Amino acid sequence: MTDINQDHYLPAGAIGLRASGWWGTWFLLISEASIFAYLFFSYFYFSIQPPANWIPGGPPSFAFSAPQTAVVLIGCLTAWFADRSILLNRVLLALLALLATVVLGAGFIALQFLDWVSKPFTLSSSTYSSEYFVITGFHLAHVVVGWLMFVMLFVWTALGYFDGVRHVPITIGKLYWYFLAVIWLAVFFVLNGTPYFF
Amino acid sequence: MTTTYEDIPDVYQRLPEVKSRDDRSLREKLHSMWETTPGIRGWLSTVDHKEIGLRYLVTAFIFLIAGGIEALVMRIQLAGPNAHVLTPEQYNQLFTMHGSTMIIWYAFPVLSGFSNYLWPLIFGSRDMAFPRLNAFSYWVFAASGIFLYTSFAVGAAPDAGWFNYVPYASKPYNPGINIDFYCLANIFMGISTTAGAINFIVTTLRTRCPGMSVNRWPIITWGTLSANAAAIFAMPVVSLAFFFLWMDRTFGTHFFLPSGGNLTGHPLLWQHLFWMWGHPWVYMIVLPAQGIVSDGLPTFCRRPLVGYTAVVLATVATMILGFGVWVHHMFATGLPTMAMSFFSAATIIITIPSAVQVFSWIATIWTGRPVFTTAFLYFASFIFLFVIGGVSGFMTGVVPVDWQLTDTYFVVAHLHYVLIGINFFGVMGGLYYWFPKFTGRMLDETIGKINFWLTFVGFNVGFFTMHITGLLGMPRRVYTYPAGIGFETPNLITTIGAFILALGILAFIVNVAYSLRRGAIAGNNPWDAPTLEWSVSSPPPPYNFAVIPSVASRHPLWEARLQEGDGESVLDRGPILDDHHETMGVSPMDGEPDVILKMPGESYMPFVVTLCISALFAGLLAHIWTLAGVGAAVGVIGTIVWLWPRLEAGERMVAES
Repeated sequence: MTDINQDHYLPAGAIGLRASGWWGTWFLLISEASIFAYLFFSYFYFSIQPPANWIPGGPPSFAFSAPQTAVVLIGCLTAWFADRSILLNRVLLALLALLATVVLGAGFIALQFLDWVSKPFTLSSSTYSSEYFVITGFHLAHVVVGWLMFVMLFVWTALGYFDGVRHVPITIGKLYWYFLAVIWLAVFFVLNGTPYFF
Repeated sequence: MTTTYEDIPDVYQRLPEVKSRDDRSLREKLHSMWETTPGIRGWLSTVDHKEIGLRYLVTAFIFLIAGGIEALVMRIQLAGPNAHVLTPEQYNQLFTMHGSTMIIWYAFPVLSGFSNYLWPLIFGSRDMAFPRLNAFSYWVFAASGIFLYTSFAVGAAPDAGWFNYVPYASKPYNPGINIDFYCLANIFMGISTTAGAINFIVTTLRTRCPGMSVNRWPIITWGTLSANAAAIFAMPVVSLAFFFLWMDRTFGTHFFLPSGGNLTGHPLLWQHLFWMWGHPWVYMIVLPAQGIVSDGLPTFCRRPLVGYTAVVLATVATMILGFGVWVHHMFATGLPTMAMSFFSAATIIITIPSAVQVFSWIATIWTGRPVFTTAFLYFASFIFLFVIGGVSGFMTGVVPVDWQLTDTYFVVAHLHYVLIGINFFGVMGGLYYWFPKFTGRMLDETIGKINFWLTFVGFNVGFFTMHITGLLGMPRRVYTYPAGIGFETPNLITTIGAFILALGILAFIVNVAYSLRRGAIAGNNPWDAPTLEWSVSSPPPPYNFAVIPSVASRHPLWEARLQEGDGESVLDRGPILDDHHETMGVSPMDGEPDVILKMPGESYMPFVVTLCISALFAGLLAHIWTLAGVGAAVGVIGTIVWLWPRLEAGERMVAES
């Protein structure tokens, strides 16, 4: 039996990870991750029963996807550092890290567009091209959301909204960037890696 | 001894003040704090879960009536052979709209309506975990339904059946705007379902009253929780399938259209993606209804549910197994025998958890002292119809039987026993059970009995006959049939049954209209039921609970009789939490107090963002890309306003004084 805790202080409001938003984000990300699982299902549905030359021009190049991988992983570090800094009440460092993440996000988006225009095929050329553009497009859409998120986190932090206790938006931003990285690694493996196996 | 959190500055924690729930000034303060603003402003901006729950119920019921009228028109067409009430194209549009309306815009949202209204009340909380998201999921549900029905207004309703198979639904064979409406409406609705699912899950895990540990959750929790946990995995796949199809139709991608060489898409991929969602969806629209029965039936049997733990495990097991049976919709597509055997076996195994629930309910009636109210009749007949619908489902889960019966009226009979028998009958029972809580007045029992018997007899006359129509070989989705091959009599009987069923629903509407004005005053707990929602007034005050209760057993209001639990629930005094909108956040499993959650108040943003999404989808439909772009951009701004951290909601830092 839980007593009514007349003698027990309770934290009030968005305190650390007790905030509802932190819990909600996890389930949102599970749902978003499912989208990619189903995208990969549809990709493999075709790739394991391929017609000849299912990928026009052979497996895709690493020219842009390798730098993209580097950018998204460095972003994990800056996002982590932003969260770490705000936890320690170092607002200025947090701002710098958030800004760095915004720049990296923009870099990733630019690399993705460069990759797209370098392709010899278009969205409607073939089933492979449709899969390729839709899978990378879904990931890109998530990066754009992440980029907007970090822009707003930068603004809110600059306005002095957060400290070592009220920091959950930044922690959610960090979690979201980790999600982008994990999904990107999966996209990278599926699109760039698996064509060498089947 | 007073304990504080050493790692949290003092300014962020406080000692919750405890008072009696009868404190008049406290009630007045909470009332003015939580009350919805009167007039149109409050109507557009309310986040009260009770208001939203009732809207869900009423809107879903309007869709039920719309889908029902579509069905009746089809039944007139099929009452006799060679009829020409409808053209084949009109018939196609009607059965497509009927199916999608009932399955997607009625069956799940109506259950969300119950859950929205009841969750905070059964959990001893003041609102859902995300009140604004709650309003948003309602607005999106309503907007997507209006979007779908706009297709009727422009004479281009979806016409490829609710499961919308390609290649018939592909551009070359279906060039109109009909299927584009359907694709986008489903993606639109998916946003609502996903947002609602996240809200239900976090609400269940977090915003309960102290003491409500996982073994004390009211049984109704489990059906809705399982369904919504499934939704976050299942909704993406159908949204993706509809997105692929829309891309195929709009930009000429090659997901589904076979055309040889490198261009080869595959129509069967559509069926996989659709049924990977479609079968879990079946359980999503019945498990919460089963939860309603598991919750309401025992009240009328004057005893707790037999086998709470078994029913919980059966509910969760059914939902998990429900993800592994989708291929049984595809037995006739020429898949390998190995695959079919696996999915057939999985389908048959689901009868085990289903039987656990059935026997629990029967045992509850058997060992109880049933009170034969209308609600009881609906709940008891639910069990009966579940068995019939379950057995016919089990039959079609066997591959050779399915080969005989697929695409005949036998399947139509089966799916209606599932959807009407174990969704609608549970919903009707639930409405009779909770109407007093919603409105403060009882539904009339005399009209109720008429209502029940008309729906029960009409339904069985109409739909049991369909089994026979199917066994006689009549295919579904054909707009008419020739005379002299034995289809006339069963079809006429089904039409008569359908109209009796419709009369029954009319009797319900009459009952609601009558009882809202003349019904007996209900009081807090007219059925002498055991759970927390019955401890507050009917209808409940805007703040639900003047003080946060703490519970010590699964049946707080039956504690004295049952002698369960190892302490006493305390409902009459507790933390008042009256500094802006506040409620208790607890640890997910043990229900230990963890945090005082600061809840948002009224907001226009859910409505504004819904309007933006509507503009986005309208733009995508009509290929007006600027409209789509503006809708998306303004929607982003609205979302930023929505999420802007506010001091009174405890989202911004506070300087130490």
